[in-house]
Amino acid sequence: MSLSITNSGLPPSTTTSTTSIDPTKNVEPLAVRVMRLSKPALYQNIPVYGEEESSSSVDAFLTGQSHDMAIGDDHSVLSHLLVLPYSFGNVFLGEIFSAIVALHNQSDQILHDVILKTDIQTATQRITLNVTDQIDSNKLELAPDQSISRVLQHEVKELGNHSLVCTVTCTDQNGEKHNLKKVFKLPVGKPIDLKTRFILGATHDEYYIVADIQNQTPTILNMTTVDLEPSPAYTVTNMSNLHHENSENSLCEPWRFIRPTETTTYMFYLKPRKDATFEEIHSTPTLGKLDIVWMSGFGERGRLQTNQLPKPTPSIATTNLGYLPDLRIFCMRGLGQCQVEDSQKFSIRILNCTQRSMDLSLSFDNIFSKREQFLWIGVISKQLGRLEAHHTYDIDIELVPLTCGLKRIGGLKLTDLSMRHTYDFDDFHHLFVLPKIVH
Amino acid sequence: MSSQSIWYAYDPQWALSIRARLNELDVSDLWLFESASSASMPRLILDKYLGNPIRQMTSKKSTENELTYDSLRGDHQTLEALNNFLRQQCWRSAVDWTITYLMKNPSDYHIWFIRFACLIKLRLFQTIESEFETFGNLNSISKLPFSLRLLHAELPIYMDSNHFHDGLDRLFRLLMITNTILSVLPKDQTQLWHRRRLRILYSIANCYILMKRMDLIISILENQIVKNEPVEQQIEIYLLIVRILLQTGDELNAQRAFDRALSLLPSKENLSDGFLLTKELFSLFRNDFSSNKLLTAMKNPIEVNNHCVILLYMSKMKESLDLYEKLIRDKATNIHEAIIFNMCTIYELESFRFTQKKHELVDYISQYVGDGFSLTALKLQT
Repeated sequence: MSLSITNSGLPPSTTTSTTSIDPTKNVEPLAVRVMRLSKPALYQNIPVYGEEESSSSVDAFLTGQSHDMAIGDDHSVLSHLLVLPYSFGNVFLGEIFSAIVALHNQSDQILHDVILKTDIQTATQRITLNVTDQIDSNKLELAPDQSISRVLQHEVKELGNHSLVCTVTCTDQNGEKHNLKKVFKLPVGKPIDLKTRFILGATHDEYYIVADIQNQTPTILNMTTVDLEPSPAYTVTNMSNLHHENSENSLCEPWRFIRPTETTTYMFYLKPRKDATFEEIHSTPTLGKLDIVWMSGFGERGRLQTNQLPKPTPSIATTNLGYLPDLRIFCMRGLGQCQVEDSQKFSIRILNCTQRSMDLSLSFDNIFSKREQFLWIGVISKQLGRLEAHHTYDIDIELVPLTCGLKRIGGLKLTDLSMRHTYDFDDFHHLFVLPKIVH
Repeated sequence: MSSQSIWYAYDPQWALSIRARLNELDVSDLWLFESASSASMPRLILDKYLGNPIRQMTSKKSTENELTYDSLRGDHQTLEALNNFLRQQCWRSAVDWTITYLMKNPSDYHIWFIRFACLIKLRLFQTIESEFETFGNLNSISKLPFSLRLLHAELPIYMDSNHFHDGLDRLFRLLMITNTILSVLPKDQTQLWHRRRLRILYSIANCYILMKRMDLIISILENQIVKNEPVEQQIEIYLLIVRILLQTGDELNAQRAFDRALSLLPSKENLSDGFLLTKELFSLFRNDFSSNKLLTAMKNPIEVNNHCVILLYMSKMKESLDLYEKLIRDKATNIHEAIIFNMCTIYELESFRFTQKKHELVDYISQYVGDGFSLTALKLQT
């Protein structure tokens, strides 16, 4: 912030006349005016092409046009001239609201002890914008018609109603104190609309996170950073830029820009760190958070961070209060494709996610296998034995596909005999069954 | 068909028909003609005089040397009077002059061009479009000035954001015909048409700039235009790329473009105005105002304007206004809509007396500006 004192050219009055502020005028001695200081823009021309050899009038026209300093002899619509913001504009979350406040002494007296306080009032808090200036603590004087100005900045961190509250106090020549409070409403909006979705990876505990970002501001945004900061147990690969041909010589990375109302999709791949422990991987319910930074015209900057993104909820019911299912199964060995009526063996790993040990027995859901048109063969019901907390064991199961097509393989039932609770498992695998070719 | 070839595409059928008339026409009048029957006699739609709104606003009395078209004055009806209006940027007077003339000579296409050129400066786009429609099919008119065809093609891109594609359609069609003409001309007669082709590319680039199609802007500027221009102009184009990138928030690539422009200079001593202005834009981007000082004493009005704008961001409101007041009094040619707009914006911030200050400003500038000046710059509530 900076403060500057201006003098409109009139020497400060040194007379001791007792001219007072005319009460019948009902005019405050100080006026407060605020102007939004979003960054300026470049003036746009309409450069007209003519051929001076075609007629004297065209030559005269081109001469006239060349006196326009914004065009000269140029063919381009974009000049070098800066133009101040045309309107107040929107205030967006994550951006820096910048404004200039001007105080004008509109009375005919010298005003003493002029103090300006500026605050931002949100729905939840009041933030003081002026840091105690050296200048503020001195006795600040304003002569008649004199103005001072101050530039304010505030990083917008919450949504909802914001107001800029300007409070001015001063003392006139009669020793009378004046107070003026002006409140300016600031409309705060969401700059981007973010939609995230999750796709489970091929192996467990791997995730694809897809984020769609829509630009809801009226200006084009340069997304300088869209990163996922993973939870400590995970590593992340940013897959958003893989397909872009980034020629060394190119001066533009157009995929970084989002025009107003357009949406861009970003993708990240998360998998557990190699050195992460079971506890680390399974005890964090979150995957990470998105860090988004953008730039727009002449250095307007914005930044948003999401909350921690939760791991997508599993499809299996849990008996514990956490997010994890009690038991998880993983297909460790088995084909993805086979011929009809060929028996298929699968090796299944069972993981006990709970803190207690289980005593499991295996059975199958016949309705599931009937619907998918395959038959479990071999041992179709047996005791599996004790499974300690956080431990795994592998079992072998076998089936015969009866018809062709893409089949969901699942329908296992594991019963914990100690708790007398049965867990039903949906598909853990897909099998593509081809017809037999008869030679 | 690779994406490169849209810039060079031409139609061999058209080439035959143009080649057939090669001996009948001047090189500059060549075109692809369609049947002559669909041409009609152009006529005026806007036939009321525009007058001089600034003159009407100011309290100063008008003088004898007043540069505003007067239909009753004999000396205002000459071509020299028109040319005088044009040289002084009195677009409204020029338009009014053409009303009288075109009523009597509706097929003088050079004057139609002047009329439309002035109307487009005044942003009266719909009038131009409506009057163009009275021409019928432009491709059936022989000896229509190329610049008039180009203006017709560019018109939609300035109207509003709904018409960009109409503009591109017209411009690409123009490009294709131009390429076809170039394909039939002997090598030593192609200079004019190369110049015209290059200008079409600039117009297309302008459309992309207004559309903010970042993917297309840099590509056309770097790959299609730069190589056809001499080094001084190439530098200007790279500086244009810098401005575009800074205005869309891409500082990194703007710096690379700036470095590329620098690399084209024979020597880094005495950087031109364009470079100095561009450096200031980088400072603005980075909020780095410490080094901000006026580099040339009042010589370059653009530099002074930009300096004044930055002063406001440094909270130096009064210094900014003082410098502006000096600038516009220093030379009449320093008065520009953008500068007046900026001054009026700061007036509104400074004090409640802004209306009075604006009227004083109008009184002053009305003595110097042509009647083409746009009143919206003054931000007056009517």
